[in-house]
Amino acid sequence: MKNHAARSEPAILIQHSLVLDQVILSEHPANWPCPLSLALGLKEFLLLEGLELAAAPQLLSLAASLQFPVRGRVWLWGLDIARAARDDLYQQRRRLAYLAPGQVLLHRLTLLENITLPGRYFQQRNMSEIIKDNSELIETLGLTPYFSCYPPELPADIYFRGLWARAFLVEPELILAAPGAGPTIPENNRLILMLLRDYREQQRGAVVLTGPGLETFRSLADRYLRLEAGGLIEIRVPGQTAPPLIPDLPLWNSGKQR
Amino acid sequence: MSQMTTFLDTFALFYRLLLASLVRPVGFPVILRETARQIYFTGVQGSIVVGIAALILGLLVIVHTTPKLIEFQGEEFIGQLLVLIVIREVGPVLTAFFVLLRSGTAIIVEIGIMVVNQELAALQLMGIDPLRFLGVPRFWGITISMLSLYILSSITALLGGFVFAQIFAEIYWQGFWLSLLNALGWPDLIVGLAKVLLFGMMIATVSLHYGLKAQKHLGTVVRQTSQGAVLTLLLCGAIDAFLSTVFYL
Repeated sequence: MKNHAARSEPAILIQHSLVLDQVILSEHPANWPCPLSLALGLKEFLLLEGLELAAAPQLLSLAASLQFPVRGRVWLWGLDIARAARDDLYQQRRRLAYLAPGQVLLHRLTLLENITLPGRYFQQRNMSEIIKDNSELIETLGLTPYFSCYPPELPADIYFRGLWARAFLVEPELILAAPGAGPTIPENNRLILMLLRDYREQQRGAVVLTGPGLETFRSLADRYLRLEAGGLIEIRVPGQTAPPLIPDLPLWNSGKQR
Repeated sequence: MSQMTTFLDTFALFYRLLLASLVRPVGFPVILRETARQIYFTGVQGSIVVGIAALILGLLVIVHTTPKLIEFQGEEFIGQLLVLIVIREVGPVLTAFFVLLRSGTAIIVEIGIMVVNQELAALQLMGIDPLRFLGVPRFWGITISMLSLYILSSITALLGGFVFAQIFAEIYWQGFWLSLLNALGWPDLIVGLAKVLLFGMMIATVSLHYGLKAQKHLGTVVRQTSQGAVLTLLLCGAIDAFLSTVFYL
């Protein structure tokens, strides 16, 4: 994998926190705690289990949009960012990856064009350069034979892996994902686990995983919350000590406070 | 009231497209490639149809007008007629008509299907502004294509007029070109170019607006396509009437 050491230099360190404050989903499940108040710390790995598959993407897409929902509030990196102008909002969104059924590949682009789109668009790099720098990730996901295929031609598991590849190629600082939303084959879960372990070991950012069953990812979690009977129950993972939670960190970008 | 909202939304979109083209440009190479793709689809692939239509226009002008001109011994006015019809009035409208039919409706359908497939939401969540990634290339692609198609159609129609003038009216090349060059002035060219530029921008903006208005199912795309095409035609007619009136006043 690429060396991300440069990203942790103090000058370009970007601290963030996600605050899901009083979120009420439009079709909330019976056991949904209304309102939900939840804060995510810097580079924390959070598992939010027990949320139905239909509701999980709703919560994540709300968080990924960085916009105020009709009822309740989603804050990312503080209220000032949620109020930011259109371009600033898009700039903030570039820093997170969202992986749930709402996410699709663009039908008019090939798989290769799709997974390299953010890199080409934001960093103005060419496709071969992006693929060369991330060859290990691409190889791990087994995408090379399908590069010239358009999304409707892809097998379901390759499509799902294509979404993960695209998300990882932008080097996100926050991953919001519902892993169970993809084709639930053990191979996919094994690959995602591998990618997330690598992401965690390199301390590249925070992760929120949600969905009905997340046993596979328990070993990686800093905090493991289970939604039961209208409340969130914290479950301690044996042999793991959760880092201190910093509820609302200010955003620092290139040493300049916003 | 809803029609008023549509007009306001369309003008707001026009303003945002201009702004997105000029302010804080991101992803310039990708946008440039998308623009080139749009120009190829509209301007290059559509050129044969527009060229044939322009040739027919030149033929019709000659066939319908020369017998009367010869009857009244006014062959020297053939140039004025061609400038009036081809350069100033029918030429821009004909080009706009074909661009709307071929590319305007295609944009509504393409963007509409992308909305239904949640591809626009995916772009937004990736941090890519759909207006910049999809809107700006189509806006400038259509406008540049309109301009080049207008130049092509004008030249083809004038050449067609010349060829058919030889066949049907025995107006020879020297008299034809003299009459044409005497009639052609800067105001004619400016009005023609202003019309096609505005038509191009209008077709792209209205098509994008109706594409983005599509909702959860493909039925809405069909409705938006028909409504968008009709509104674009009306707006092009209004712009044409306005500019022609200003020119004659």
